[in-house]
Amino acid sequence: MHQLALLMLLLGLVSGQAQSLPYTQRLYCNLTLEHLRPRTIGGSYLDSVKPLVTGTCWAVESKGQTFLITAAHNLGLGPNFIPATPPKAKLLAIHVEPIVGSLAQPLSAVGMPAVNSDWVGLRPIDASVFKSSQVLTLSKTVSKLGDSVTVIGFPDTSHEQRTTRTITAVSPSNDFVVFSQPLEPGYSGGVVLNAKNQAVGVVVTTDKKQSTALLLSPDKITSLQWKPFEQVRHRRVEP
Amino acid sequence: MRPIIPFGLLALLLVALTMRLPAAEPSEAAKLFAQQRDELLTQAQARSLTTKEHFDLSVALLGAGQFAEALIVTKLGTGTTKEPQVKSLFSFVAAQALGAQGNYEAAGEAALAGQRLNPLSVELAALRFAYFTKIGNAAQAKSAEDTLKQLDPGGQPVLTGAEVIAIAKGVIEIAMTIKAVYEVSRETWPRIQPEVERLAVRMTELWAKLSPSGTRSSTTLRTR
Repeated sequence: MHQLALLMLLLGLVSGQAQSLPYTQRLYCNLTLEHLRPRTIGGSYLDSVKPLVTGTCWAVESKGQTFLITAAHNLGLGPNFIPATPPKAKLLAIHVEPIVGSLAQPLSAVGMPAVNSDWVGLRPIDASVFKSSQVLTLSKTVSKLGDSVTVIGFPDTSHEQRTTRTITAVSPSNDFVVFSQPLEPGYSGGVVLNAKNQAVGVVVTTDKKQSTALLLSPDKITSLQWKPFEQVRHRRVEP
Repeated sequence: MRPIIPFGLLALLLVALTMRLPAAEPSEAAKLFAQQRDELLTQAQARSLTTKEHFDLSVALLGAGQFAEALIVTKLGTGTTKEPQVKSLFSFVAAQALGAQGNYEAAGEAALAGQRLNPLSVELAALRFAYFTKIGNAAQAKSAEDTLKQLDPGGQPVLTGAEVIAIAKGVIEIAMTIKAVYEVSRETWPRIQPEVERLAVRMTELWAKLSPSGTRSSTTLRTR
């Protein structure tokens, strides 16, 4: 009986420690946008801008794989990425240098979804990244209209923040949801949790008018096509 | 009869003199660092140095302004221990030695490597912030700044003059030493020597605070 009590206590402690971990980690990315700028006297010259992009990522375990998930535009990828180049400048190349969390861990691989949507999987070089936040599981049930969800991320803060939203619209294909109120920038890539603290989606737009999240499923996770991060670190932009 | 020097002014002068007394420390510290360095180098010819002696030698060399030599000793010292916190202290010295040579990127990386071994070190977070800000690596600097805020929630980054010095409440002392080491590449050594000496003293205090000698078994210090 005493052993059982001790076991319960230990489990409680382990569970308590897990609960004290944050749900997400902050993602930092140095973007370099190389572009041609027109001269007023004619011709053009090579220039670059180097904005810092910050967002959120979170760890997920699905079908035996553990990796990070974030919004693709946090890494200068995906359909929602709009490069902030000067007016009339012609974008030539994009270089990305992302790091994860307070220990600035670099990435080794990126998982691209089968269809061009605004989310990616990330594998860190050092697996200790997964000890810095909780490793979440995906919900097996799909969120529906009117559900109350919790969104967690780093809206330009050093500490993780959480907020609740109601789902006010679901796309016909059950691919994405719209929230009742917009989210602040920085929540991009953040996790959407259902009432059971299971991940249901990833935040992809934090527009001032409306914010949306892509709904994730184990099948979508499995369909990610992984490649070394070096292949996306520097890429030329097709004219 | 009124005194030539009013009593209040005399008292102020005495206070000022008392406050100036610590300024005499650097030259004394310089002698001590040089003496410690020479003693340890003599010991090193006779036998292998312990981890603690490697640390003391690296700090003594840093205090004496021999940054390249200090860096070599930190690498040797790191190989003598498996204790993460002790390794992180060597990273702290290495970061300062690299920064003093103007290699700010390597200095930031050394501080980051130390932070990964000792995630709760405010000092290493401050170094990361300062060095990565210095080289314009915004992502690394932001990550370090967040780390500082997480470790010291009441702290705020401090901008001083043209240089971003840092840092959070409670590590201003470190910030000042960072400034001193920043200047070594462009200022004369005698001018910044007192600051570097103070930094070396601070590192010795950190060893006492973080190393096993103060809080845990002292056997690790003798690990080779």
